[in-house]
Amino acid sequence: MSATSTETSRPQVPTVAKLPPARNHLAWLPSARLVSQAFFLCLFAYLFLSTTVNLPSPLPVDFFLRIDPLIGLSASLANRNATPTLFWSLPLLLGTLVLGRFFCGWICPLGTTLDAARLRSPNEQDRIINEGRWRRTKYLLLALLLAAAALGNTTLLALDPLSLLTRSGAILVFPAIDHLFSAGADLALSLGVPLTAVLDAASLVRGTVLPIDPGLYALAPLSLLMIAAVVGLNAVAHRFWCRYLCPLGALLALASRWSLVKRRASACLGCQRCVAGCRTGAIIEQGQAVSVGECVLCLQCQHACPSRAISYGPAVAVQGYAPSRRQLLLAVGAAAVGVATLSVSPANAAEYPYLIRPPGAQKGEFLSACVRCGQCMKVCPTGGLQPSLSEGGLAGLWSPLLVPRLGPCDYQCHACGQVCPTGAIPALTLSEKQETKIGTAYIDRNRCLPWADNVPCAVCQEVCQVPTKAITLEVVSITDAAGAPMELKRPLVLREKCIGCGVCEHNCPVPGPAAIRVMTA
Amino acid sequence: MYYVSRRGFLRTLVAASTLSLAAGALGACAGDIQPSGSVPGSTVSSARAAEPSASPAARPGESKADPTALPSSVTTEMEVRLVPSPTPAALPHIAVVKGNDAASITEAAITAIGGIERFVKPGKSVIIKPNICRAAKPEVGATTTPEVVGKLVELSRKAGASSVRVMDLGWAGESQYYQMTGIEAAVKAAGGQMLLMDGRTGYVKTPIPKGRALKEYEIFSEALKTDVLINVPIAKNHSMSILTLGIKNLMGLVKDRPSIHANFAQRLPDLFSVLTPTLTVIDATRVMIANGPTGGRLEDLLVMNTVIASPDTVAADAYATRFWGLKPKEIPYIRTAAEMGLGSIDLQHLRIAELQV
Repeated sequence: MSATSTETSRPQVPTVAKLPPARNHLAWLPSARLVSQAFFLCLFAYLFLSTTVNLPSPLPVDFFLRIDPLIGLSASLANRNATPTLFWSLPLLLGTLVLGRFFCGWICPLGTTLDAARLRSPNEQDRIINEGRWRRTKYLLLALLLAAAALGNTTLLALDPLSLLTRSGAILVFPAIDHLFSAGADLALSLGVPLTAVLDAASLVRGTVLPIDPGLYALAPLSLLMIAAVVGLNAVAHRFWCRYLCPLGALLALASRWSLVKRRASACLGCQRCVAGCRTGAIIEQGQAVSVGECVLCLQCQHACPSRAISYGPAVAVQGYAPSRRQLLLAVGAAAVGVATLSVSPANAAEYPYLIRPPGAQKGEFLSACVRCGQCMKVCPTGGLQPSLSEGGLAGLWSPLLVPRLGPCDYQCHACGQVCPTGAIPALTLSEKQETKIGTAYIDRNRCLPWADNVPCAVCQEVCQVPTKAITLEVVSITDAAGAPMELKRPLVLREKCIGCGVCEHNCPVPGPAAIRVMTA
Repeated sequence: MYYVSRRGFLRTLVAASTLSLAAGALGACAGDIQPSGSVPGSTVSSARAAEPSASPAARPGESKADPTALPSSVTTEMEVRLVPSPTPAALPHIAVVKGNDAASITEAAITAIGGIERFVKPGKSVIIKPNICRAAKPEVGATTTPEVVGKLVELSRKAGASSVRVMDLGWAGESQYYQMTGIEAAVKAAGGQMLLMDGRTGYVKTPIPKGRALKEYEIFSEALKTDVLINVPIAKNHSMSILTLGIKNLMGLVKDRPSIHANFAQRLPDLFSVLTPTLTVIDATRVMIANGPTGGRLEDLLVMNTVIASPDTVAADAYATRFWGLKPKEIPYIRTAAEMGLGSIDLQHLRIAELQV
């Protein structure tokens, strides 16, 4: 971080050229931290890419979401039920009680991403004014989130860093790379590279790492706005997100208040080299102290200290940024107002007719346990699972719904339930899933080819995945336009057999909206 | 980012694009250099027609025709490339082999029809088109038996094929249909390659000179260009076309499948007239008799342990109708194909070798 910095230094930092270079038997620790950050970022990427039906991973692919105590706590709180993987988050919470916010400095893949996307020189002064107020924002956000969760709403979990990063990857970064890859293939074809060479090259990744069709997600621009804001705020202050906004950071900061590993400055000369280099701006009092809950144990200050004055161990931390009681009450009140406002939505009574939820998702329960991570959308092999905007009311923002025209629910797949970190989509077995009804197909007889135009067609019946066929063909004798008698087969949906997978809607040849559509219930 | 100067950034950009261009150029040189514009028409006919002598290396000279011509403008020289080669008197028109082992009856059927060498000459490219319409386990009988496909890959490789590629396009965009059907594993074990179709890339508008309902259609160009096309359907009933066999299996190679449904009786034979396989091997190890073509229940399958091979796809289809107790003429598209002279359904006058292994 510091090796290539520019010559301009902060004017108020005194120069300490005379000091001997530090010799520190723990000098390797910052490098260890870098290795750890790189390792966990790679692990995150590996697990993300493994979140497909084809690449089973030895670790649960939702590992990072499982160890996130904010996700576990708030989903359990909102759902009035411990999520099946809640205990996975205990090690991190307990570890933070003892060690402090090491997760933010050593593990968090979003933190590492923000470190890599450093937009400000360590020597530039941060452009933040009224710092203390900003520091409190994350606690207020946490209070808002937990209060909303207590009231049964988890919409704000979209701001959990791991949910945010996974979701951005699933519906923005990964599909965008995929489309670039496709564009490259098209370019190669137009440049005269043989089709087999192009398809062979594509076969190396398509169908395994990449889906067969690049994903299409309506909310990708919104996702871009969010992730661009999180990264872009680095231009105001390095790790702006972690310092001022991250609700998981706030939770871990609270847990780290009494931790046994804190920064201590014993024989500090006040050179302030550490102050400028601190990624979270946690060092105060001219380098003498660190504000509680803000240090992420990156050990950069220890590395930077010319006089080996810094050690880590039990210490009394000073000047936290705990919000005032009034502010906390305000956050709780805001949560109440927000949740109440969302419950005014008509979506709670008159459901959007095409709100097809993933298999097994129970109305109500589903939305309160969904952490908006987008894992189900990443794993869906047909790309049919889409983030919703307001189809289920604004409270359901980012939650998954099936859009069969983009991709049906594959009869041989039950992956969404397997990768859901909180069980919002239950982990059904394949045979259970195959009998789970997620909707019912309805034929629009005004547009269906045999019904409306006397044109033979039975694609919906042909592709129906239910083994005993949820669509039958009624044979009728009619006279065609020329007056000649003809026999015609017309499709009929057997509602009790239809599971709503939407493979009929996906394949219906009628242009525009299909003439057979899956609707709720 | 804050320490990268504009000049430095531009320099890196130029270096990176030069590198990637160089890599791309290298890749293009390493690949098969063919005139780019000649996808559907002229090369196709010359490649297939010049069966015995012309080596692929001799081709670039003659196909200088018009490398910039758009695929759709190639209408003149189009000819049906693969009229089944006349069957020598010593060989049967159709080979039907029964037995318990899918791989060995496949091999026996190929041997009976004259051996794979009759169809696959050394150095020729082979495409094998099984039915992989959906992601389903092989035992369900909705997709071609992996052993049959694997054996055909193995035989083609032994005959000296320059490449053996296997492909089909599923209905629902599921990404695991090559794996789940067991076909990918069988093909790879036999030394072949799966080619992933995405439903968008590689289709060319192809004129259909003999077509009555279709005058042109978008067809997967590799299937037109390949020297040998081996068609390996699995025998199933079909809710609209009554049966799905050899001719119907070729629908996996066109871009717009739903439109065929409006008139199976004529559109299928039309397609078949330009997309004629070198050899059709019907997998009737299991025959789906109900709830086809998707299926899903073992109760809907009859175990027949049979493989039918013929260079005449129409004849092979005609023979297979008996599994459902039907006559060839009762299947409209088979009848139309015969009427158009694309093959024979006159089973009494064909030599049929029926063997047991």
